[in-house]
Amino acid sequence: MEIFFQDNKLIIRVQPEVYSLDVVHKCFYWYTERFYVSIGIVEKGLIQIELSGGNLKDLPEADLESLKILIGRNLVDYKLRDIVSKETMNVRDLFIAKAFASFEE
Amino acid sequence: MKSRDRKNTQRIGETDLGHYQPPEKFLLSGNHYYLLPFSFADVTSQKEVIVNELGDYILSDIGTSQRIITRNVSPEDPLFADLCANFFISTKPVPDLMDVITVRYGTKKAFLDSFTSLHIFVLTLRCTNSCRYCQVSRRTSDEEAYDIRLDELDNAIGMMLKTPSKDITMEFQGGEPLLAFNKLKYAVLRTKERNRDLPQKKNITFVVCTNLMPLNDEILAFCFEHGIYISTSYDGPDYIHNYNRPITGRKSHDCTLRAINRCRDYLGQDRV
Repeated sequence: MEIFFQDNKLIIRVQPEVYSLDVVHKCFYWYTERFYVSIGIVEKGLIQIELSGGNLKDLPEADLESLKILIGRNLVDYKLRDIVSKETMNVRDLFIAKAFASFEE
Repeated sequence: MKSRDRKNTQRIGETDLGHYQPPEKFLLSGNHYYLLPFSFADVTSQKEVIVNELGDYILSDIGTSQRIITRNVSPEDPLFADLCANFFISTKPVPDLMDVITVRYGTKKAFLDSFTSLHIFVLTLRCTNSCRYCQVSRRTSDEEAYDIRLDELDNAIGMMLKTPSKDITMEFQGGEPLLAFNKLKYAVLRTKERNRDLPQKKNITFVVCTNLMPLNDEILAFCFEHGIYISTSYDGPDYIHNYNRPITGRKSHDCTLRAINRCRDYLGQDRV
């Protein structure tokens, strides 16, 4: 993962093998309240996220570093949630089906 | 068959076990367990909450969910037992207590069988009080422009009567709904009229959430005639109630207590 500041934008690049497009969208949805968020695919198939606005250019260096750390952490969190969702898909379908089967009895 | 094969296999008629791993390889070892559906979120900078599909939750140190997902919780850890008991993980692909999970999940989602039964009608944003915890953008008592329109009421009543639920509650809120008492009367009478025309009539409970300040005999008589329940707030001793629910020029606590007793005397104890 790369995070860097360029042209008053915070740019994050991740490998889709590590963080899928689904994970990226779910993670950065929550940043839309504060920033303009743009997600796309760039060279080498990397996913690029651009955060702009939200007084980014006026942020002190310390706050910018904190934001970068937060972004890294949020990506990991959403990746973990994605892992749980995929691993538990079958058992969730099973107990939902059993739970609602009893409604029809 | 070559002699090497004869050495490694048993006689014909007996099971050939030579190519299987020994039984010990299949025992639950290390931190192997199966995840059940859950999610997590930070609560503070130190703590996170982990919640499963049944609504059970565990408050734990930040990073606990990551430990769970990456299989870093050992069976000797007290957390392991909590996670199993509360259906966050399982030692088997299908938990032994699957029936318990399904019954609890079905109960939690039972409302889906009959869909929405509580319908809240905000008749006005006008209010006499300035309660400290009020979530409403209140207007002063004379601004009737902030009352619901009759056509809006009709549409909302139509929407309410479309619900599949046989038993519904029509609850009037505000602001102070009794300040728009004409709208409340219209809503109750119109709902009863339209309910009569339904092929399958609904059992409708009417409730008005009020601070009781505008209460008068006409309102009490209407509530009695149509079986309307009164829901009000009484915050406790006068120094608490008066602080939380101030009214300009009046003692809120005494007025509320008098009004509650007046309602109970007129409508009955169980109607307030």
